[in-house]
Amino acid sequence: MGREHAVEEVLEGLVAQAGSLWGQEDAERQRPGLQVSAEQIVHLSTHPIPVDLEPRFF
Amino acid sequence: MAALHTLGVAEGVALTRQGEISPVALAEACLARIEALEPALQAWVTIDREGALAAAKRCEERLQRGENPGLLAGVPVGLKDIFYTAGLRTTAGSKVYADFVPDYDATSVSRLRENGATLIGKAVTTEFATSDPSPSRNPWNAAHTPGGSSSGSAVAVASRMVPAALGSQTGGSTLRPAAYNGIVGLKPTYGRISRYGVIPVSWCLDHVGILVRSVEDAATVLQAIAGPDPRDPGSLSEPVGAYLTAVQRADTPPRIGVLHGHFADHADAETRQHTEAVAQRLAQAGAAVQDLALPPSFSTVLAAQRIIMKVEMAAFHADMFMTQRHQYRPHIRASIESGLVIPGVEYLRAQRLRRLFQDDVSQMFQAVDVLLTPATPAPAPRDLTTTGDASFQAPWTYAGVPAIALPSGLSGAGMPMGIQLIAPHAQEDRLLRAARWCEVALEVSLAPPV
Repeated sequence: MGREHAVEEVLEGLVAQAGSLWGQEDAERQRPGLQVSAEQIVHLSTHPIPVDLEPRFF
Repeated sequence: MAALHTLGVAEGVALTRQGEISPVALAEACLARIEALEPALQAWVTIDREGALAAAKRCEERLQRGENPGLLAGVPVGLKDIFYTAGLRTTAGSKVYADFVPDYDATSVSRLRENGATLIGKAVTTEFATSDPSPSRNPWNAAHTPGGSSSGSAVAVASRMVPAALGSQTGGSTLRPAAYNGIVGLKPTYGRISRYGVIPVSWCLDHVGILVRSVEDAATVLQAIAGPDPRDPGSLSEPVGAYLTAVQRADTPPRIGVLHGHFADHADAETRQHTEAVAQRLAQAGAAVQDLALPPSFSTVLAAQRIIMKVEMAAFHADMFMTQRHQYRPHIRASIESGLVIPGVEYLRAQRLRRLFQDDVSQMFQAVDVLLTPATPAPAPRDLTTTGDASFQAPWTYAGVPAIALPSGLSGAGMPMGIQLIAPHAQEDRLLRAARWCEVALEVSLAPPV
C-alpha cells in the first residue's frame, strides 16, 4: 500500500470518528487538521519498534 | 550603580544582601519600567502591585532582622499565566479560564516565595500554552513575533521589566521565545521542577522553564525551585545538583558535539553560517568541538511529539471542550479535535518511539559533554500570525533532557540569534557549567532598543 493511500485510509477513519462526535458537516471542517494527524500516524507506523519495548510515561 | 530595573538576578541578590539596595526600591523600579513599556509590549495579564510591594517589604524586614530571606532575596519575578497563584487570577490566556482564581500556589510559586522572591504578576501566555499567537510584542521589533507560548515572560525579561520569569515548555515554549528575544532560556530535565499547580498541555511533555538574562541567573533560579514534589507524579527523584557551584567553576572547556542533519537542513542560510562561526569561536577558545550524527529514531521525533501532545491535550480539555469549544481559538481547537479521535494504539506507538529516542539520546554523550544546535531555524519571523517553529527545541523536550538557549549575536536584520546546548538526563550541572563557559567565550549580552 502506498504512503498516500495509507494516509487517505487513516484520514477517513479519523473523519468518521469526528463525524460520530460532531456530525458529518463539522467533521469535514476538521479535515485539514485531521490530515496532518493522519500523515503523522502513517509516518510513525513505518518505523520498526522492538516487540518487547514498553513505553515509559514519566 | 546601574539603573535598578536592569539588574540581573545574581547581581540584585548580592546588592540586596549587602544592604546596597532595598527590595522595595527594586520592586518599585521594575513596576515603573512595566508601567512605561506595557502599552507597547503587552507582556502582562495581571500586575499584583500590592502583593509585590508587600512581599518586598517582608523581605526587607527579614534582612533588617539579620535573617536569611533565601536564594532569591528581593528578586522581582514574573509568572506565566498558567501557574496557580492563590487568590490571584490565572487565565491561561483563555476565555474558558477568564475568571479562574486558584486557592493554592503551584509548588514552583511556593518555592519562589520561600526563597524571598517578589512576585510581580502574571505574564501573557498563548491560549493554554499552545500556538495561537498572543498579543505580546517583540521588544527588538514589534513586527516580529516574540515567540510563544511563554511570550509575556520572555518579553518582560528581555525588556528589563523583571530579571526573571517562569515559563513552560511542551515543545519549544521556553527556549524559542528566549532566543527570539535575545535572552537565556533554561528547560531542565523532565520533573526537575514540579509541575504541580501548572495548567497542563501534555502531562508527559510539560516542563517548567526559566527565562533570565545570564547563565548564572538561570542556575540561581533553578537552585531555588528544583527538587522532588510528592504532588507531581512525574517529579524527578535524582538529587538536585549544586548549580551555583557549577557555574562558578566553569573554567574547563567543554567537549561539544555539533548536530547537523535536521538542524542544518532546516536552518536558514544566515543561521547555519552563524552557528558554524559560533562553533569555530568556541573551538578557538579551547572547546573540543566535533560533528555528531543524529540517530535513526530522530526521524520519528516531531510526529510522535505532536501525537502525544494532541492526545494528552484532548484528554485534559475533553469535558470543557464538549460544552465550550467555540471559546477556543483555531490552532488549539484543531489540536484538541485531532487528539479526541487519534486511536489509543497510535498514541502508545508514539510513546514507545519516545522511549527508543530517549535511549538513543543517552548514547549521544559518550564522547561529548553537551550537544550544540542553533536555538531556532531562523531569527524571529516577521509574522504576527505565528509563534515560530518549535522543531529545534521539541526533540529535547520530548526526550526530557535538559537544554538551554543562549544569545549568540544579531542577524543582519537586527534580530537576536541564539544557540542551544543539550545535556544528558538529570545533568543540569553539566549543562550550566558548559553554558557558562560558552557565555564567557562568546561575550554576547543583548539589550533591545526600548
